[in-house]
Amino acid sequence: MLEPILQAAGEGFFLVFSWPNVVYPVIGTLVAMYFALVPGLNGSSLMALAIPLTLSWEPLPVLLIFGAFVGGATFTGSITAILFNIPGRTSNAATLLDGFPLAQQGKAKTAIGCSATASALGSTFGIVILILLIPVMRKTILLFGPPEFLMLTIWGITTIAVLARGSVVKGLLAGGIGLLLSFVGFDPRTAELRYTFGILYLRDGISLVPASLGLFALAQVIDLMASGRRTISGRTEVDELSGSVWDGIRSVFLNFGLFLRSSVLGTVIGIIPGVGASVASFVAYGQAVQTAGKNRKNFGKGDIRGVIAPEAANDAKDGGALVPTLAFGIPGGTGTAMLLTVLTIHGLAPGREMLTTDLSLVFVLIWSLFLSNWLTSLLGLALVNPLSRMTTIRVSLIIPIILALATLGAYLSNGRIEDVFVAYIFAFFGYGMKKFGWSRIPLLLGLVLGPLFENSFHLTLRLQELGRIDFFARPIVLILLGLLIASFVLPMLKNRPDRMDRGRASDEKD
Amino acid sequence: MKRISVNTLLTGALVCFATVLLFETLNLGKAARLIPEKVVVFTLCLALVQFIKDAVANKTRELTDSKFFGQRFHLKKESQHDRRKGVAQIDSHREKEALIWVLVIPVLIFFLGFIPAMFLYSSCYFRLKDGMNWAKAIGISTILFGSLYLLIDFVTHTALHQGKLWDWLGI
Repeated sequence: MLEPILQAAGEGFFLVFSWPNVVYPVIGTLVAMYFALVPGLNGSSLMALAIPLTLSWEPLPVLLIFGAFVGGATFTGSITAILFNIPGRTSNAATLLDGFPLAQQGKAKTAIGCSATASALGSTFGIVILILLIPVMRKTILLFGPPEFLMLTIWGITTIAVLARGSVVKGLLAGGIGLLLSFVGFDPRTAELRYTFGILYLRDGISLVPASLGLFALAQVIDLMASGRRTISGRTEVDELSGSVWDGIRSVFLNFGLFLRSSVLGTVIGIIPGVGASVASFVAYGQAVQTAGKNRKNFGKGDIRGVIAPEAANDAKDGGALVPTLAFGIPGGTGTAMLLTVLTIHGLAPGREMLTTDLSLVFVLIWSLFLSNWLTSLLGLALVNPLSRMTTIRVSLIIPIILALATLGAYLSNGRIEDVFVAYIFAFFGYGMKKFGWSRIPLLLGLVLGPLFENSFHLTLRLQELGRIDFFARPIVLILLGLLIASFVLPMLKNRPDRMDRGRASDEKD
Repeated sequence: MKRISVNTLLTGALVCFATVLLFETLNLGKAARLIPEKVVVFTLCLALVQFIKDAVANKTRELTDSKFFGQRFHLKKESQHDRRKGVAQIDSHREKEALIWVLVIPVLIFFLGFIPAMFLYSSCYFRLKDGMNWAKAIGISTILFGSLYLLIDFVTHTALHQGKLWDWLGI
């Protein structure tokens, strides 16, 4: 049972670390690190921008670079959180609670050293759990047929809709709109035109590339422009940093129990679709405070444990989020939703094939993620002074470049000017959704999973009519149905507070 | 005058969109509409629920902002309210400006073609938003988009959109 997995792991390792393949994750990490420094831009925007530029690439370099994007953006956001009290990503918001006070006490390098170590080790933990779960995932996926895939797509969209930003109704509505948009074009069975309104362009359906570019990359740029921020950090100058990096690294090992607990929490939360990285980081921070006992009074005033916990959880969730994405095609969050889009565009179907015949490609993704996480931490430590100076670059210099790349990307996907218009329509719609508390992930998921949903639905109905299956007698269908009901009922039982603030972070998780 | 929140308008637009799709679905053949019918009805119901929620919230806000309640609240929190109103106006202006700056891009590209449009756009953006002088703005834009054009031409060999204006002018 383990032999094919070990063989695939070895093949993946050599594919990632051989020359010239190793160049891709290194470049991907460097680019992701810079994007993560800019508040308002995130790994999802970067992936959306990169999709059209990599359309003609082979699957291997695509996995190498996108694996690096998933892992490369996680640590550098904590640098701006620690130095300037501005989280690079919303999931870094928990880090600034103690990270910024530490910097104010002259221990900036200590905090950054601690953050880098916790990030690298946390991501390794998440990846180890992912690898250990692969044999389980391989056996489970073989039990899936059309009814199971149908329930899976419904569960995936509704769970993310329920747990993500905004109200449940808004989330489900966004998912429904995504599904309807996926039906535009020719019906796959009858070749009848649906929802084209006589527009020739729509006969091929709504392309994923301009839709995702508009919803995430362009909408984020509009948000950045509207925020009025002049520089990345809000400052025009930064001072030299003080503190000891080695003290920071040592602190993680001195609090190893806390690190392990936080990593476990991050991995488990990452596995659950729709629950954001910010939830993982805040839950880990909360448990750090609770388990501190009598020594909790320093939290919020520069306690190093307040940096270890959220950073470990933040990075451990990457490995966890890949479990449902690779096994079932259900993304753990925005970043893995974009990854799923990439895999779909390049003809790599998550699930049975990926976990059996294409297992070495799965390990390419895993090793690329591992490399980028460690590279980010090491480079972040080495380059912390120059990185902090980069945050004084004016935002107005970056915006036209990003807009040009996004627009070019939308055009290059199919070589049609109409794709550019579609991207900008989705951009305004995506900005409106962000502003009025709607999650964009269910909409993207509806677009991506729509074809699978429709095919599975048709096959299930046909098999049911022929008497070949009994839908409600299948155990996995019943389990997924139970999970679906639980995802609605549990939040109501807990009388969840307003999810706008938590959901804002969830929507930007990557 | 009754104010309708933008939120309510957005949800109302979604109700209209779902209704139009429902009529389109009913015109499809039996096999083609089997799945979309279920999804569009579900989506329309959700859109109506959300529209009612937003409309009720809007109405509740109107009542609490009425003269009786509003006046009492206004007397207490006058200075804070004025400050918040000032900040909100600046944010609103900045947002409208951002939307206009972004809206201009596809229009420019359609008429001028990709490279000329982005060159013009970035030159104006650097000048008007960043405060650079024209020479510097045009110089940086030339380097950026000249390099991009060469990259696209040599690497992807893709012909970019040329712009309708040049067709009309016969260039």
